[in-house]
Amino acid sequence: MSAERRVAVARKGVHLSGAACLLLLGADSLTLASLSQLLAALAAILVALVWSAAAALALAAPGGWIASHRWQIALLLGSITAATLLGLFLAAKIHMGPSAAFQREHFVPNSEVQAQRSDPEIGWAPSGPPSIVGQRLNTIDPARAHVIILGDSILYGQSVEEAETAPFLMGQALHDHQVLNLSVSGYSVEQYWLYLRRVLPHTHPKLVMIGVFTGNDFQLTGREFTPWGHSKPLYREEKGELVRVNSAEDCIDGLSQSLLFRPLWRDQARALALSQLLCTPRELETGDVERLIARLFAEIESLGRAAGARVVFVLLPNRYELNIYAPVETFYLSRYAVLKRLLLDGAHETVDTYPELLRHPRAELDGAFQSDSSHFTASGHRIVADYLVKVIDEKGYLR
Amino acid sequence: MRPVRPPSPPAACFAAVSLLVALALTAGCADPDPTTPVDATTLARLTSEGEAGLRALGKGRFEVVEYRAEETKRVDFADPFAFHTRLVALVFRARLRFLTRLHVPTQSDLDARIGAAGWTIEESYDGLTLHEVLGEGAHEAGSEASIQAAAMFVDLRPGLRFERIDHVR
Repeated sequence: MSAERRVAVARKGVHLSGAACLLLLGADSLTLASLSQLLAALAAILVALVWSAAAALALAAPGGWIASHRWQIALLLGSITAATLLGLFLAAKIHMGPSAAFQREHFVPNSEVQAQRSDPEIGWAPSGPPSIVGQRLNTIDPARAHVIILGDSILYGQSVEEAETAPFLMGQALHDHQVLNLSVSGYSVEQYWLYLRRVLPHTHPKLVMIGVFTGNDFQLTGREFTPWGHSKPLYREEKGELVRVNSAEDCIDGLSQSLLFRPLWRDQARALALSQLLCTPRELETGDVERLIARLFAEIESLGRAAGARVVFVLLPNRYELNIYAPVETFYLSRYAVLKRLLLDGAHETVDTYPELLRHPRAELDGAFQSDSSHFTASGHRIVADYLVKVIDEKGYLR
Repeated sequence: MRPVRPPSPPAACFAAVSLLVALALTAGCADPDPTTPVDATTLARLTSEGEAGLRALGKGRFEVVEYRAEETKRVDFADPFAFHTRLVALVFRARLRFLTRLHVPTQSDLDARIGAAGWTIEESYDGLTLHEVLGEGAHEAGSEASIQAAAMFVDLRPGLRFERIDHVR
């Protein structure tokens, strides 16, 4: 090998090593924590690929096949790159409907009326005639007085049969009234208010029970995005008024429901990170969330009272709101205490199911929650239903 | 034979690499946390509220003989929903004198109490707080203990609200 050739090979090696290092640096820097860092990492990978291809072509052995087809190869690689980028762009623009993660949480197959559909006012809601309500698609009996139960997937009864849910069991005990389960998976406090406002005029409510899930109602109420890759309404209290302040709904829904990103929405953590990274959605600070929730509780109570109903808030905990062995979770991450305080400060009628649940033997308590420590099993629903029926009777909510 | 022409290097590549490295480096540092500054006035308020919080915790159990604020530091906890609980911890040293015999139960004792007759959630919160601040064990009436602990204030942005007395996290 001639000296010149050796120099050329060495140069090629240096260039390819440099490109490989850059590629590794880019791959290692891929993160969903910061948009600028993500873009820098992607740009590094692209530059590394172009660099390595350019070096390989420019330093190809003279007279060889690569050297003689340099421009054709460059054109081919360029075309492939451009086609890939175009394909990614188009895939990001093709709308495929709600993400798989959203459907897993909210989709009920084989139903004539859709239990979930995107809804510009509420984010998502059951669709159908006004007489059909909640994700369980209960049909309103206009001849009866109603007990309305409204919550999220906890009271909807995710992963249990309808006949096993607390609202259904309560309906069997409170037979003078029709118990309507208005619950919809994924809802947070402003959605309780919005959906109640929509449904209440079609009912004769005697009692409205709002299930406040302490596991995520606080966090989600202050956001315009969900861990399921779907936008949701975001309100803020401004000058005494509740003002809708969404700014990134189109981005969140467009992205999460696109052909390109839909598969990425399969896990909640990634959905959250991508929503935050690419759409920079609005999120309220802690003090604003507290003020908003306090105001929403008051609005819900006013709505119910205006319709002639008693309004009772039911605190529904996850299994470990109180965990002696996890003080940080108990004192700082759990929202049970702050939601309870907001309800008490607002002088709202409140039923706290957590002490009641904790009074059950540990084995029974463990069996009351599903493996996510949030949703009730059939036996958990039974405990909650029995307790709520007892409280309704003792406090005379239906008298 | 045509001489091998070294590719003009890629000054552009080097420039790009430098730029990217700079970008990558700055991206990691350029995400400032919009924190509420703890100015002298606020610090005085936190110090006062922290002492009041410690005295409230000790009511009927211990009195605060000495109390000295040392520093503030920021603490940030994130939950599985990536929701952040941002706190300001006012670290203090204090000397306590126990008014009566105080036995701080072990964690397993505290855990075993949950759900028992007469138990309340507030009782567990109180017991766990004492455990975090004093540690388990007995303190005789009249005895003294020196502790380092923290008054935790939740950052409402704007504003700080006293939450609890805790050990230094």
